[in-house]
Amino acid sequence: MPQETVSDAAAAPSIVIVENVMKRFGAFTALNDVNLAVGKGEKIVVCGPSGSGKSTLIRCINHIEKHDGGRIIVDGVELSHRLADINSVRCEVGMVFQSFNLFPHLTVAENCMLAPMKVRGISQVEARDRALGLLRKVRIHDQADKYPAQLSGGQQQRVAIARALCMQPKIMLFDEPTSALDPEMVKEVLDTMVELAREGMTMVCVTHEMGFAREVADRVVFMDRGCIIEQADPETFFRAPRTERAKGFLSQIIH
Amino acid sequence: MFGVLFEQTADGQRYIDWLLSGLGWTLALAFFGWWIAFGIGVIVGVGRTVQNRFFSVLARLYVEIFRNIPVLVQMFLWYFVLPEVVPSALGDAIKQIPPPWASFFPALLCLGLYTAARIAEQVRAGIEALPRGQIEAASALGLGGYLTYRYVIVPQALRLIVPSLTSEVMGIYKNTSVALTIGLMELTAQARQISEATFQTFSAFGAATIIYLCLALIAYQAMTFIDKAVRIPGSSPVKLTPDQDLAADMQQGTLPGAMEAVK
Ligand SMILES: Nc1ncnc2c1ncn2[C@@H]1O[C@H](COP(=O)(O)OP(=O)(O)OP(=O)(O)O)[C@@H](O)[C@H]1O
Ligand SMILES: [Mg+2]
Repeated sequence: MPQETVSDAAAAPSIVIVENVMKRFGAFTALNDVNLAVGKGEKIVVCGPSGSGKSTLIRCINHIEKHDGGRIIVDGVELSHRLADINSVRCEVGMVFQSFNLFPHLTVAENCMLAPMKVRGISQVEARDRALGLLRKVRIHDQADKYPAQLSGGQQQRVAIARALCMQPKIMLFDEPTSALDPEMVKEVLDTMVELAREGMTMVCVTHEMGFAREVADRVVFMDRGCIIEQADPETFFRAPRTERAKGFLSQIIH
Repeated sequence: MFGVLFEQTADGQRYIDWLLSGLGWTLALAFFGWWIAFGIGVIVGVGRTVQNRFFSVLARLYVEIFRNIPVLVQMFLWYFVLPEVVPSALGDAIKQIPPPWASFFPALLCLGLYTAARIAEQVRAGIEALPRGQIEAASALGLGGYLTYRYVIVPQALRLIVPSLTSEVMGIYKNTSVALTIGLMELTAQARQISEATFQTFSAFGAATIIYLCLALIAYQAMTFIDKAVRIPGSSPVKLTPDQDLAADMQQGTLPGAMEAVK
């Protein structure tokens, strides 16, 4: 069954192409010749030890971090330092952060409405409708007029997901969306992400939630020291990792 | 003790009318000067933090110049020197401005621009105190530089610096007394005039002192009210003291709770 999904996704055209990408912070190489193609509708889970470059990789995909070498093509547009309108690319790429990063001075609904109104240019009424619809979907619409600080961590992260979805992106990036949460809130956020995956969203998730990876991932990508050193469907990866480093890593997170 | 204030002056008024007229000029100077300072201060403060080298250097230059020249000297520059260095037609026009306004406008300009430089530094500190994640989240949503500043950064930075802006409000209204040196008959100048006319030095300056203190109290209360009004629901209250500045605030780790939400 997972095998089938992988081949499906492989057949689909790539919406994100990462080619020989290098990223350095001073003398330190955070990404070293990374290659990754993400098919439309494909769900990729990225894992690896701390400092291996997982965040850096997905931050390069929406150009929050600027790569130093290689090519990144998102939805047919190559990201480069000279790209005049990076924001039109970013509109198509939603991102959810480990620390939520909601705007604390805006209500939940306003958080969701800001970018659709100011960037996509839709009307306030339409933006609010869309926001309430998506807040309902993440089961939090009754909190629409509260401020982020009045919500629990799990609720805030679901708002952050709704806020990203309000831009109607083609791809969603998640950077350890559950690792800042108390254990009892992890499930509500993961459930939301599973639902999103079921609807066919293209997703790249940095996460160590193996249950989630097993359930939705088409492919697990394992990174270490700035390189992708192994990728496979989740069943194969978790059962029989090929590299020693992946084995070591898995034994650590399983305890 | 203040009986002298109700005595008749040579021109048929009472001395208290002189004081009140002085108070009027003081308030007008502080009020309009504040809005000039706030407007320019926010723009220059933002300019200090932008990527564009040209604007950030320009903003830095503004701050260094206006913050580091004594207010009294700036007052003289606007009043005495400006009409001489501009083209003579303009200089003559400036000299034609009738008396109270001829000192009021230079004083307004002087206090507004000086205080703007100080506010700009507070705004910059407020912006730099925001978590990086805020800017990243805005960028990730496709908000460009202007939209990010307008809707995400500046509204949060201003809330953060309300306590330190309180000291700037106090500062500009206390500095209005420097305007007496270029002949504006504001509160201190009137007090001196009363003292010279009546030889009741203690009453004259005592009354002025009490008025200044009341004004400070009112300004402080108003800022406390504003701080409460703009506080983000769910965030913990900020302690407001008049001389509190952002640096001290950050050292004590009592940044407004608003920032805790985004850790
Ligand atoms: N802005 C930066 N400046 C300097 N070094 C950085 C910067 N951002 C990341 N790094 C370094 O790059 C390496 C990769 O960082 P990255 O955040 O991508 O790791 P990660 O795999 O996401 O780790 P974690 O699981 O801890 O989040 C780390 O060693 C980090 O110290
Ligand atoms: Mg990371």
